[in-house]
This record gives sequence, C-alpha cells and structure tokens, in this order.
Amino acid sequence: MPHAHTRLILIDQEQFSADILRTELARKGFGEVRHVADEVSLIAELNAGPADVIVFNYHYEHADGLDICGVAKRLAPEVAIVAVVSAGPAMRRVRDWAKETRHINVVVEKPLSDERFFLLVCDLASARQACREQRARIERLLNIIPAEALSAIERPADKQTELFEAVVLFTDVRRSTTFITQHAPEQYFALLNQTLGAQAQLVEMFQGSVVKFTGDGLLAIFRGMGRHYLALRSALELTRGDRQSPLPYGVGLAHGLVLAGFIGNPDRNGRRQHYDVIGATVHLAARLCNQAEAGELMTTPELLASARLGSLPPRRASTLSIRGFPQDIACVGLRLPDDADRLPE
Amino acid sequence: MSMKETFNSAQISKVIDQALMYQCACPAQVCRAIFELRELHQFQMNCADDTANDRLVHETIAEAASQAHQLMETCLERILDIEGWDRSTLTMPASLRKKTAKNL
Repeated sequence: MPHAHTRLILIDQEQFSADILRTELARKGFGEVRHVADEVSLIAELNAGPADVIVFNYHYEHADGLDICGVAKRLAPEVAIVAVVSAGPAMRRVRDWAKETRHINVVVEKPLSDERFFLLVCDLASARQACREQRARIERLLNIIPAEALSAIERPADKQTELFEAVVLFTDVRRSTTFITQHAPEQYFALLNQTLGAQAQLVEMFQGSVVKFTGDGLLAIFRGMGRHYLALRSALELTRGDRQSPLPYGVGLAHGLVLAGFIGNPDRNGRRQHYDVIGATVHLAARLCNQAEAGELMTTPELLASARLGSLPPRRASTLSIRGFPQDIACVGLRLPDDADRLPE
Repeated sequence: MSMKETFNSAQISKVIDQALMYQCACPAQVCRAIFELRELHQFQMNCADDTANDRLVHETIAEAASQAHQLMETCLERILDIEGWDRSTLTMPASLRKKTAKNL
C-alpha cells in the first residue's frame, strides 16, 4: 500500500458519488480517505490533521459549491486541490474560476477514464510526502547550520566573506577528560548537550550568534550596536549558568576584527565547506577562555570599559602572552558572587 | 443556423455527474460527445468568414455537427429509457446505482 498513510480529503455533496470515489481510492491504496460534504466538516477535518491531497467532486447543479475550495485553500494553502468536473459548461465554469482564484490546482474531466486521475492523485500525494520529508530535513539542518552561515549563503559568492568588528565569545568545559572517563559516553553526551544547549540559549538571549560548537564548548559572536554590552552581559550570565551546570566551564571574551566566511573547497557543492570566523581576535578569545577558571570570565580591560556595565563583580587582573601579539595582553577575570541575584544594568 | 437541443446543459451535466467512472458511464460518454458536438457547432458559427470558401467550409462542418448532435441526442434518449432513468429528474435508477457499486 504505497499511500497507506496518505490523508486524503474528499469533498463531495453527493453521498453516492462520494462512496464510488472512496471505494476506488481505497482500491488504489489510499488508506485514509475522509469524506466531507460541507464547510463545517471540512474545517473540522483540516483541524484534525494535515491533509496530503484534497479531491473536490464538482456537481453542475451545486454551482455555488466551488466556494468550499476557497475555504480549503485558505486553511491548507500548501495542499493540492484536484477538482473532478463533468465535460462541457461545468468544465468551462470551473476552469475560469480556478484561473481567477487559483484555489484549484488541477481540473480533471468526468467521467474519469483509465488510470489518469488516480495516477495524478498518487503523484500529488508523493510530492506532498517528499515535500514534508524535505521540510523536516531542512528543520534538522537549521538546527545544525549557524544563523550567520544562513545569512551569508543568501549573499552572492563574492560577498560571502566579511571582515567586521565583533566581540568573540568562547566557552570550554573544564576537566572534561576526567568527566569522560567517569561517565558512560551516552551520559557524557547528554550532560554536554544539556550544558551547551543552555549556553547557546544565553548567547541568543543577548542577540549573539553561535558560530559552532567546539567539542566541549562553543564559539559565538556579537555584532552591531551595543555588542560590548550585550556580549559582556551574556558572558556574565554564562558564569552564573556554570553553577547550575553539571559540567563546569570557563568563558573568554575579546573584541576586534574578525574574518567570517565559508572555509573549504567550494567546487564540491558545499559538502566540504563550513562557516567559521577566524583572525587574531578569535585566537585571543580562545586563549582568554583557556585562562579562565571554572565559572570565571576572562576578558580585556578595554572591552570591560566599552561595555559600560555599571558596577561589576570582583575581578582579578593579569597579563597574557600570546604568540603573534607584539606585547602582553592585559586581562581581567570576573566571577559573579554567589549572592548576585541580578546583574548591573 | 441554430441547433435544436432536446437536453439542456444542466440535464446532460447531471447524467455525467452521476456516472462518474468511465467503466460504468455509457450514457455519460454519449453526453460528452453531445457537449463536444455543441462546441464544434458553436465554434464554426463564430468563425470568421473572410471568403466564400471559408463560409462554405464552416457551414458544411456546422451542418454535419448538427446532424451528429441530433443523432446522439436521440441515442441518449433511447439509452436512458433502456436503462430506466427517470426522465423528469434525470436520476440514475437505483438498480443501476447498485450495479455500479457492485462492479467497482
């Protein structure tokens, strides 16, 4: 039964013809054919579950019956409507109406001959099924592909690479090797996904964008006006989140120019490409994150000043020597006190 | 040149609507032929007659369509009688409905 799970709605104001069509459709393998005769039943059926195809049997003597197709199209615009219409003036009337309203996708002539009608309904049901599967796949991909990559891919190829100012945020789980050895792999993955999921939520809450998960942590960027403030608030909330997390982590934050785009060979239909941000700022943020202890944020005094975030929690100051940077980098460690209910605005 | 019509469009459509499936729709096939002949006749009547030859062509086709139409309408009348259709309402007889459902 190729269409055993296809949900087909049959609109027919005559019980006799509806029974014939229903019998024939069932014989052709359609497992669920729901017959409706009026708008109220149609609305109830469409609310009960998504339809794959709608078949409308038009009767010449019910000339006003066409309006029900308008209702169907409004409620389920993505579902194809096939109208079955007798030859002659009825056909002209329905074709004209369909052309004007676009509420009917295909018009088939009565009496229904050979297998054409049933093949058409099968094709439409298959197309709908494929469309649904495609949509589910896209939903899954949207979970994997960062928002910045989706935005970049919409642009022409020569504008997919950007250089811009951003605050880069890194997180990284501390003592992950110890945790891995102490937990079953599935258990560790569950804990990790719980931790990273919560982190991503806090990043997005402050208008940041997660570029990628880096194994035991994540890399995110903050762009545009107010990025210093938003990134710092996000990072401080992350240090608070660390206390509820089963896996402790540190946070690093740096500001500067970053280069963003697709990395990999574009000649292979994107199969070998991924979106990333690179540059000295990214490197600095990663190093700052490495320096942070569990539940601590490491950043630079300049970023702290730019964020203008009122009174801040206790800090420790140090310097960091990073290869590629001409001089040592001053950095500060921030940690929210246990009793800090609210962050300074 | 107009064409005499025994059945109007609503009546013919009603026969087709009740027949639905081709394998149990002999009267409906005749109905479809009647509609096609009416369209053919109408088309010929509306065609441009730029030359005398054109007019003769269109009149010849229209006349043939009219004759064929009359023949098919008579045929429809006869088969509706044979099958026992109610001629006033043009409702398919119950026995035929049962037979149709059984055949399917």
